[in-house]
Amino acid sequence: MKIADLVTVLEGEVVCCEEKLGHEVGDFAASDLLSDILAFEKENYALLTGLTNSQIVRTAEITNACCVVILRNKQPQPSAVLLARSSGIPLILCRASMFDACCRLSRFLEKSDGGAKGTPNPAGT
Amino acid sequence: MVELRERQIRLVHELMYQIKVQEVMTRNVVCFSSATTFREIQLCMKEKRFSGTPIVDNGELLGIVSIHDILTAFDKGHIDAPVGAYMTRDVVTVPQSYSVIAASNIFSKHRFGRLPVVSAPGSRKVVGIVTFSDILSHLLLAVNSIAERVEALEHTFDKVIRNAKDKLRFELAPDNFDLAGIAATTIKKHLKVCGVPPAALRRIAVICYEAEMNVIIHSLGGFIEVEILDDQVRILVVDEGPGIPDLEKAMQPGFTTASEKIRALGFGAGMGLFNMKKCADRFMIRSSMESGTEVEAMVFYQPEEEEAGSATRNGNGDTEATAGGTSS
Repeated sequence: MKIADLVTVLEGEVVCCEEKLGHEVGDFAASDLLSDILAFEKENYALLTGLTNSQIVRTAEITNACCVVILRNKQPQPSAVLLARSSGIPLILCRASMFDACCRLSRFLEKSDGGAKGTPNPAGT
Repeated sequence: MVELRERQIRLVHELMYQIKVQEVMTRNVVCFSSATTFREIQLCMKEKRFSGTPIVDNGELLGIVSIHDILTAFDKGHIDAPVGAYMTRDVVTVPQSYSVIAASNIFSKHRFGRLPVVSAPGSRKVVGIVTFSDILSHLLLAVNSIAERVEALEHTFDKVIRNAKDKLRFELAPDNFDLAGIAATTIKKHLKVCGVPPAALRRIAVICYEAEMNVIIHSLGGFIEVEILDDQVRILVVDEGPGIPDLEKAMQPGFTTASEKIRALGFGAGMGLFNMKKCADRFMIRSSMESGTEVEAMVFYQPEEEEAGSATRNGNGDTEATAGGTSS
């Protein structure tokens, strides 16, 4: 799945770094707690969150996330957008709740896998 | 691109909610009484270069006189009459405690050049005057200062790196959440250049970031020091107190003393020390209620091995219980 596919599946809006939409998403994580996200041992993953401050972008940068998705139609804080732009991390806004967003991604991955690998768990490890 | 532009406009809106009218208004307002003539006001306008003024009797706002009223006075021949009888009486005002978005909405609805600012909702006491350009220039300043604060700190930290040989030291000030993480990202970038392999790099960055947040949230300030040795990186974090009363408890995953406000920002999950220990190959913490807390963490790396099979350490991850834990 490319970041562009994720944007389509979540009906998202790209705030910055559109040039990276062709990059592959290697994994997914969803949480509203920074330390939980730091505890995930994931690389090149899409980070789904309800947080809107600049720390969510810092956390993404520290843990090598490939993009940040802000859920529930929340507006990112200006400092978060500035940081995302300067650190080259695509920031995507979407209207869906965390649960709904995870379900949509899960369905998409199931389809593209042909169901061969069982049910993917985008919210878990 | 249209969407992007809309987004930027919405960001400005966000700032507009935070900035209050009292922060952008002009305070020393030139006011006149209702007995003043249009000509007196016109001469004053010319001299002091303003284009509208509140009319105030006994501290109460009665009306407003703008350039438009002056032109009408010339036209209708009452330029030497007191303004009381002809001024615009139906004045729209904005309370000083309102956000600039409220003022901006009034401007776009009525197309006024200026708004008298009153002390409180319903009050007729004028405390200032605000124009649309006051709002715009303040907004530009606010956007600039956000960018500048970050740039200033990054610049300071870049200097640390330029002056460093094999040891980096970053001073951390308390309570500045917006800037938390700059030290950790600067360290990460530098160690990458120094050839520290990716898997070790990620662990070091997480330790530094957690430590940096801890110092900023819980302490009175401190520093973080990173030393690069041949096959290991040593991270030393020292704060000035107040110290951790029960270290054993603090090390437990999920234990937190962070306030609701801090938790709402996404900090204070009670995983900080636990995460740091998990990422480190050697971890030591000392805390005293007199001198503060000191954390020393070592991360070992062997360039060839790490590059071959990176990220295999701790492959059994224990994160499933936390995934989406506070999902909305």
